[in-house]
Amino acid sequence: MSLALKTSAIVFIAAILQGSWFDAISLGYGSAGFLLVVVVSLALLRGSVLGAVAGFAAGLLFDISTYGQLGITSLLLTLAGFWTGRYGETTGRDRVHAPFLSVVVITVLYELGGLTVRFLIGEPAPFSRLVVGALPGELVLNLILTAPVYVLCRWMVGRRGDELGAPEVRVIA
Amino acid sequence: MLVLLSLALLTVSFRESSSGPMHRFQGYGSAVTKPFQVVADRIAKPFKDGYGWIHGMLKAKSENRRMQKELENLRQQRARQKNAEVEVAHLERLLNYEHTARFPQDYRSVNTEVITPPTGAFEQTIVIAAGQNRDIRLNDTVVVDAGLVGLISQVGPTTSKVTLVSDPSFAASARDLRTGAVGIVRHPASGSNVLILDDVKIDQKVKAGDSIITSGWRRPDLSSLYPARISIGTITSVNQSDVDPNKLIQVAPSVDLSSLYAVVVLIPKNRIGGP
Repeated sequence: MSLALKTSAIVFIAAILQGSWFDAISLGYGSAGFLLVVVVSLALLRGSVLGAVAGFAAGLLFDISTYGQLGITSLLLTLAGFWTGRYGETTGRDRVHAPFLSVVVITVLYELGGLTVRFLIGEPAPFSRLVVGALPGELVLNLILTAPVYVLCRWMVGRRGDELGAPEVRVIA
Repeated sequence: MLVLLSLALLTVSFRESSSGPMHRFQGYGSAVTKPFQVVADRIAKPFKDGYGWIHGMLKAKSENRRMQKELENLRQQRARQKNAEVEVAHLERLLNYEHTARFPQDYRSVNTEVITPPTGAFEQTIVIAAGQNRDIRLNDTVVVDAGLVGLISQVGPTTSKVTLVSDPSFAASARDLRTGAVGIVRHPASGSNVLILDDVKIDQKVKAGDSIITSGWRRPDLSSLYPARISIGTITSVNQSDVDPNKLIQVAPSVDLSSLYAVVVLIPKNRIGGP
């Protein structure tokens, strides 16, 4: 199966499961951001371009299936996918902690970004509900999801460069 | 490019009316994904039920004692209510009393599954598995046996979006069942779980434990979106200050919105015309 097909399948299933299962799993006001963790994992494994495209598609599908405001989740997940991809291509490469660090940082930025966009378009955006109520619980749940989701995504789409079969090259100065 | 596309989507969908092409597209898209959501929900159901069973077992003993007491109270209340109902019906006949649409007898119900629970920290909405195919329209009231859930805020061919009473945009005219004091129930933007009963003057004798129901008022040009006499919740605290002419009243919702699996959409029996 081609990479595009595998990624599409993962994104579609993740968007459906986020709406059906993971939004119901909550800690405080925060619910598990399975879709976000999937996009972060894909971006870390396959780079910024795939991350951005996967983020856009995932957000669009999620907004459509849940009657969300079209464009908000797409915008946020596109940026999340792109930035995580860039991190994975540069300093985060081969770091064991990269998925966890990315999930923590992106979860915080994603929620703050969502709050900002909602504020800008005049929708209710309660800051205290986010910071005190939602964010701590969401961070914990997302961190719990990170390892299994990352491993599953790696098993399905592999890591960028794996298909070349090239052994690791280390430059010794 | 994708960021621009997202911004364009956001702008167009935000500016257009709820019957615009983007919203229609969303409705059809939701109808396409509905079977997958239903399948995912069915797969998750045994696990949810298992969790509910274990959770229920842990609380069973104390719950049983509480329920026994509640049952006794309710039996007494029911007996009083039956007498009152007979009396009211008799007096209404004598007075030829005219009603607005009454709940539940003037509504037919569409029972439907919840396919998406509330998403995220801000959106207090759910998606249900019925839409235009079941004659559901914008602003139809959604309830469960315990009370008010919310109202229909978007309708697709086979799915609909319900804005819950816990959404910051929610507001409903309400009445204290014991005293008849009227006010507006709304959700505080601060994000807590309780509702606020606003616009109740400080001379009203409301107290904690009072039941709050929808008032369902009607004027020739304007009417409440909700039918009268649907339970909204129970007053948990009443405060007042010297500078505020209104009481500060908190209301605990009567419905547990975090575990909705099925809801009832109320369709007026006298509904006529197209959507």
